[in-house]
Amino acid sequence: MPQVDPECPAILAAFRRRNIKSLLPSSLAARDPMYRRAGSSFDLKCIREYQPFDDPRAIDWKLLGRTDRAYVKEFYDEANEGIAFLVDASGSMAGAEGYREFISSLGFLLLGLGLSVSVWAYADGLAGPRLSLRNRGAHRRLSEALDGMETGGRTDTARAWRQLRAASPLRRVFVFSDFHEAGFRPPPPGAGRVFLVRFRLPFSRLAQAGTELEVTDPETGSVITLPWDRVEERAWDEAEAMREAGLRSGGPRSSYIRLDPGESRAPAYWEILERLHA
Amino acid sequence: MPEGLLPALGWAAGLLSPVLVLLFVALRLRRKARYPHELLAPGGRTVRADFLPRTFRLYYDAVIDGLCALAIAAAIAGFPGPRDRGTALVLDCSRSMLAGVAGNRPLDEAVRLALSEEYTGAELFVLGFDPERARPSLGRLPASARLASTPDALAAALEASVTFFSVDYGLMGRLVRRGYTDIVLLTDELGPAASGFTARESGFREGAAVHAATRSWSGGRSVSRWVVSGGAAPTGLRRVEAGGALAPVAAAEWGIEALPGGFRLSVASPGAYALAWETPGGQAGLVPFMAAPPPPVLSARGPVSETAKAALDAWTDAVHGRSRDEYAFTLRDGGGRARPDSVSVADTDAEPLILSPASVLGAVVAAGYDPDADLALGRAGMSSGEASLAWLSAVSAGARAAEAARLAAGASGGLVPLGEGLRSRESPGGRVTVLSPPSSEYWRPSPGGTLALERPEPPRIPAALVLAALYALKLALHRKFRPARGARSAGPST
Repeated sequence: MPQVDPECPAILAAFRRRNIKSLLPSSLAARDPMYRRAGSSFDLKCIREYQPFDDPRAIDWKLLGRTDRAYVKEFYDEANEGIAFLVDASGSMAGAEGYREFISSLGFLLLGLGLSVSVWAYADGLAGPRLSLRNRGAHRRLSEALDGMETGGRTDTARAWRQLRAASPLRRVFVFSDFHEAGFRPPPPGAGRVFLVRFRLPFSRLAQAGTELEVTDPETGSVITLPWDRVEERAWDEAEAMREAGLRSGGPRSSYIRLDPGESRAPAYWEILERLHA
Repeated sequence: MPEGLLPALGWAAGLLSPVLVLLFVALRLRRKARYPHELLAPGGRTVRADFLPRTFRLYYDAVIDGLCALAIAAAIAGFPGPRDRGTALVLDCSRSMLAGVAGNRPLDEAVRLALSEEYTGAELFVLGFDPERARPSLGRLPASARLASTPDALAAALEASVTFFSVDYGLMGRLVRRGYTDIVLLTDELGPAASGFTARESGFREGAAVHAATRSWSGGRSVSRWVVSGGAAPTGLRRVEAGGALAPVAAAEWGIEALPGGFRLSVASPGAYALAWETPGGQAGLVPFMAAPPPPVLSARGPVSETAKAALDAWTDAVHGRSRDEYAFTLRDGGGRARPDSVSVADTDAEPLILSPASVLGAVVAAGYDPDADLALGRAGMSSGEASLAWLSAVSAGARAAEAARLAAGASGGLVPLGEGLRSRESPGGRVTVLSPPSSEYWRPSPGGTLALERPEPPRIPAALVLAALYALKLALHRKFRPARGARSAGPST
């Protein structure tokens, strides 16, 4: 079963301390709309008369014109909306180092912060039912699901993304993959936010410079013989730079996080939490 | 099957085996990995990186090694050898081929043989003399002679278009290099034994002739000794003027003295002359010759050279009389080595050597060594009476070299026939150069020795160039493909 990274409890504790929103009474974090905090989502909570402590920018000017009275619209805070995990379970992820541990750890952090998490696995489309996790105690189910997740098939992230958008209204989505598909571009996040978490394995980690390799594609099974020479290294670097540029081109509401084997994952957790609560 | 192919294949098999072993080892050492191919060959890959197919980049080392092995195998086995061009028939067009009565000359017999059925299909070459370049030549039959279908017509066409002067049999080596496996020389008499070719001899015809055997400057006059055969006797002397005109020579300016087997001819001034001769039977001829020039005017630089010059001047005065200012020769102390117009002598302490016996008429003269001087003499060498012979030899060699240079310069503008010899077409400075045929054209060549045409070794330069190109390509590809040094950049982390 994938273990939670040992630094995660400390990160969770630290983030809870510094995040004032998490200090609110738990009743306010309930699902009852009466106790949900107002915020910046598009989910309308109520329309009430303008009060002196309200931000004048929140005044609904159309209502003011019709009724000669100032009203403000209040929306539910999107912080308490659920988060979707789109987990690449295609054949290319079979050997990804720390893949399941990272997803499990991130789930541990998000559930610990009171956020609900829905998990979908995908290959050439969404695979299997979603896993809905609503509290810290559900983390064990996430670990078990990740542990039992079988990899195989070809990757079609774009198709899986479309299926997810059709199946779920959740606007905050994490996509975990190696993003090896040629020409892949991050999906438009719409009104929400998308996190592209890439598990990258530089080929130089597999190949010694100047050697020949017989490389099998884990998804198609085709085999090529490759001289790992300067030309191939340069081609890999150039292609990698283009791929990174493409993954970063999703706009301000799209975040790209790359994880290489052996690197510490703690900075990635911090970065994700910071951006999630920004 | 082409000649040399089997040995080349054998060598290739032997030399390719290490390459195959290397390929097998590389195959055994090849590692396996699982990795998405789209990360290795993405669509955005640049064309520049793909300038060579990946498969070739896998095996370029072995491919180039294999090509080198093939090139070495071909070079060792001499494959491909020169193309077999068959039989080359070489017609000797020296002056001696014209000796005798028309119709029965060696030339007539040679052309009859050349047109016989025995040599049908053979290529006919002419070994003659190129008057434009003033040197022996070997070429195909002149265009005018190719149309001749009878021996008489061919002989007449050759006489009209070829300069019968002297030949160089060594030029037949070019035919060997061109791939003619059977070379037949049609000549009168070769003298030495033929090796590597066939000499068809028709027999030497001895006729009337006069020939200058030696030429020297003596007593203030140019003296030449002549030998005669066939009852020929000199009848008159003419000076060859610029433009080829023959001018009479005043009786006071020349003299002739009969000798056993010939005569001695002396003229007052050097230059080009033509000697007319005649036989009692009415046969006549005209032989051009160059009268020997006077010895050079000596100058000296340094005390040792001054002493040598005094000795040489006394000797030349005694033997040759006062010389004209034909050209100057310098004796110098110290440096200046191997110059055509000077000889240098250095003073040396150690004398572990002796002077070349050829330069001192076989005497033993102690000498040292100085890389900057022609002669290095110490106390023992200087005290030797024969040491002055070394200077005299150097002066004589300089004089010969100067005359050869003058003749070459005079002949460089082309030669035209003059009697039995040739005359320079141009006369720079009013100086005419004439050439007379060598004595071998008048007297039967001496037997003995061997004239060999060796089959040349296969040329090594093409193989060397191919190997150099292949290894340069290998080096360039290695520099192109070798892994980058140092750690690779993994790029930004986020």
